[in-house]
Amino acid sequence: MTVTINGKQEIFDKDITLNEFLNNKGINRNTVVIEYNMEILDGDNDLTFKDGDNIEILRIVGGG
Amino acid sequence: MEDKLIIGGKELTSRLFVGTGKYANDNMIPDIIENSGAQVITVAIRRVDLDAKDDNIINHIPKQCQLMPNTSGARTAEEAVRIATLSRAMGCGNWIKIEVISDNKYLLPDNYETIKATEILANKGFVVLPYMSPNLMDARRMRDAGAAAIMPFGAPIGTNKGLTTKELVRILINEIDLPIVVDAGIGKPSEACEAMEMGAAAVLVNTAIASAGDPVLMAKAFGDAVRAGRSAYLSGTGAVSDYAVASSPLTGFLR
Repeated sequence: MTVTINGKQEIFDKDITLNEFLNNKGINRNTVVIEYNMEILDGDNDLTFKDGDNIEILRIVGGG
Repeated sequence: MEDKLIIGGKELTSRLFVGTGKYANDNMIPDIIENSGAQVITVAIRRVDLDAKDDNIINHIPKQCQLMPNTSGARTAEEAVRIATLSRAMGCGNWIKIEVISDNKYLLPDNYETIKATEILANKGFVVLPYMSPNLMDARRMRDAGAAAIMPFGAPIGTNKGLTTKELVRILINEIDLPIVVDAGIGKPSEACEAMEMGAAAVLVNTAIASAGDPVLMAKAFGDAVRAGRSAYLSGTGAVSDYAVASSPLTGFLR
């Protein structure tokens, strides 16, 4: 299963949920916003990645 | 004298807006904000680096500040709307600085796409502050599209070149019945002061503070300059004369 995450292709050989992925990467869900196939995910709803999904994980950074 | 700046229904305590980019160390941001007196603070939205431990900039911004996320990275109105929607979902509130740029050399804003984004986002309930190339007709279109303020640049982003667009900004101040916030290019407190003396409602500064030898002290200098410029504007500057006009009495000289 191939999923595009932040523009980069990630290959998974077994099912994985969004929250599992974030936990593996040490990302606190409360500090990011998730766009799942161009739709913003509300709250902390979890979902299982499907082949071909496109996920954006974004956060606030310094800017002018 | 009562002198309020109200944008998007919010009364602001400072006419200096400060950006949070380019600091050598984000830990200095609370001191920057405190010493500048700024209340409106800009931030950006970016992809998380999945392979690095990112610091969270929000931890450095006091809760009482008004966040103003920008749409930097957007090249079209559609992309600006997407970024604005994400920033609101992230809990940044409903203020948005529209920044639509497709010119990588000078980072000049695309007024046409910015007008389109202004209309869409104002209709979605955002408090929209469009960053623009100073142009009267485009500023009118942004106002008519629902902008809460207009933000012309003084010089290209990050150049510290100062108020190179002075005459165009003056026209906007005179003709547009919205707050005019000079954004980008201001390199020195004297230039911020000059913009305020002209009647700008506020200025937005990032690089000039972040790139200073002592950013915290420079933040204070900008805060002082903006207050001085505003007071000068309110007081009304004296007439300019081609010839000397004595300040001391011209009678009673000791001979």
